[in-house]
Amino acid sequence: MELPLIRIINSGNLSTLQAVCRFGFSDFGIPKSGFQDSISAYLANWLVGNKRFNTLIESYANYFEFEVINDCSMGVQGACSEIRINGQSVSLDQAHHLRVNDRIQLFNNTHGAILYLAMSGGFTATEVLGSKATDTANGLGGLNGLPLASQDILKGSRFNMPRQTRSIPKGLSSRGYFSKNVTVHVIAGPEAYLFTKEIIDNFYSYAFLLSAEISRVGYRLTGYPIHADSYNIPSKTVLPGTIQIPPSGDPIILMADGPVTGGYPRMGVVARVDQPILAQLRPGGRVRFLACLPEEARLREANQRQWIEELYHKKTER
Amino acid sequence: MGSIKWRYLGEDAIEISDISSSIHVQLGLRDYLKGFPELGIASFMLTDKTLTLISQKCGFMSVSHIIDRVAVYQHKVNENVRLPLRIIPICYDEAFALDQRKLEDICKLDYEEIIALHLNAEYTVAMFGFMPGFPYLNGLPLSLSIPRLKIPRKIIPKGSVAIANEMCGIYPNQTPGGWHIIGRSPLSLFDPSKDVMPLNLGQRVKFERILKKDFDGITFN
Repeated sequence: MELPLIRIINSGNLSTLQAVCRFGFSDFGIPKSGFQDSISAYLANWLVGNKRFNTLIESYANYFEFEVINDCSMGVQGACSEIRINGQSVSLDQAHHLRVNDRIQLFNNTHGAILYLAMSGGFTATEVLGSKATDTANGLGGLNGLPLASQDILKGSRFNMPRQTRSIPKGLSSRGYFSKNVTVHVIAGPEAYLFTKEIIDNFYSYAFLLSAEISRVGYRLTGYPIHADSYNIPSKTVLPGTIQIPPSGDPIILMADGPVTGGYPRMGVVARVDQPILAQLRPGGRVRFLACLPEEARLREANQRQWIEELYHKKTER
Repeated sequence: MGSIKWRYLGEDAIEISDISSSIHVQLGLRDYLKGFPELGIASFMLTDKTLTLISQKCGFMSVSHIIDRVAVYQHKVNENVRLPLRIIPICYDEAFALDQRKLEDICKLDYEEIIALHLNAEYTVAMFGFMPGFPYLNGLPLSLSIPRLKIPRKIIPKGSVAIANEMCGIYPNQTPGGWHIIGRSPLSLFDPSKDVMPLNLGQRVKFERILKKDFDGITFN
C-alpha cells in the first residue's frame, strides 16, 4: 500500500530520488543516471531490508531535515556525520524505526559529499524508460523529473519493514573511503594518443583540485591544465567516469547524468570500482589518477561486488 | 573487414573504429552482433564510423571473441533496400532562423538560396547524442558546411533546426548550444512517455517548408 512517508523541511543541495539506472537508451541520447556512489546506496538500502536498487534519496546536503508522516524504517549511509531524531543524536550505521511526527536531522561534516537516505520499501517515483532514477540533465524520472525541494512529500510502500534492526558490519561503513585526497584508477581512453608522453606522465602524477563546478552531470578539475595535440575530433561515445580534456585544459569527469556523446579528447575512464570514491570527493579536495588495465579494474570490481553480494545474501531475520 | 581497429572505453566497453562511413554497414554490423547474445553486449552506440559495445555488468568475458566476430562480418550492401523516409516540417521565418544574418555572411549566399540548398538535400540519421532525441543528420550540402559558433548560445529554443560542420541537427528541447540556427520545426522529437521515438538510426529525412502562420497549427502524434 502506498502512503505518504515524509515531508522534506530542508532539502539541502542537489537532492534527488535515485534507483537502478536507465540502461539501454544511450543510442537515443539518454544518460544512465542512477546512484553515483553505488556502495553507499546499496548499504543504505540493505539497512532497511530493501533490494539494492530500491529508490532512495541521494543528496549533496550538508544539512537535510524532514518530518515523518507515517511510521517507517530509515537507513542512512554515505556522507553523514550525525543523525538526530527529535533532537537526540543516534548511531549512524544502523537502521532506525521512525514514528509519525518524528523530526529527523542529518548533518554532514565528513570529507564525503553525498549522503543516501533509504526507507523500508523504497520511495515512490515516476518510471521513465524503465527507470525511476532522476535524470537532472533532462528532467526524467524521480519526482516529476526535478531535484527535491523543501515541502515535497515523498510517498512509499512500507513493504519489508524489518523486525530486526540491522547494523552495518564493522569496517564496511561507506565513510571509510572518504578523504580530502583520493587516488582513482583510470583506464587509458581512446584519444590518449592525442597527448604527448610527457603530458600523459604529468596527468598521472598531478594531484588535481576538484573545483566548485560539480553536479550529477560532471565534475571539473583544475590546477594543472592539460593540452592535447588536436581537438579536432568528431563526437564519440562517453560514459560516466570518462575524463574529457576540453581546450581550456581543465579536465571534466562525466558523472551519472552526463551526456552520451562528447567531442573532446577522452584521456581515460575512471574504473567503475573507484567511481564512488570520486563521486564522494568534495570541492577543494584533490584527486590523483593511477593508470590501470581493464583486467585489473574488473578484478577490483569483482571483489567489491562480492562483499556486497555476501552481505545481501546473508540470511538475516526480518 | 580486414584488420580491426578497437580500443577500450573503460573496462566495460570497447569501441570498434574506422568501420565504414555507410550507415548501412554500421547498422548491419550492430544487428549482426546482436545475433550473438553469448558475447555479452548489452547496448550499442553508433557515432562517427565507430561502434561502441557496452557490457552491462562485469565487462566482456572475451573481447577476442567479439573481435573475431567483427572480423568475419561481411556486409552485403543491397542498395535496393532503402531506409524509410521521414518528412520533417520546418519554418525558416526570421523569428525562428536566429542565425539568418550570420549564415548569409559566412556562406556568402542569400537566405532563399540557403533555404533551397537545405530543402533539396536528403539526410540520414547518423547518430543520436548531446541530449535525448537529438539527431545528427548526415547529408548537409558542402556549401552550408560551416564551423560551430565561437561562443555557444545560452538558450536555443525547442525545435530549432541547426547546422554545424557537415551535420544538421534538431534540438528536441531548450538547451544551450553552439550550432547555427537555420529554422524551427514543430515536430516533437522526444516524448519520454512514449516508447516509440519519431526518428530512428539510419532513417532518411527530408525537410518540408511551412509558413509561420501554419507553425502552431501542426501537431503530431
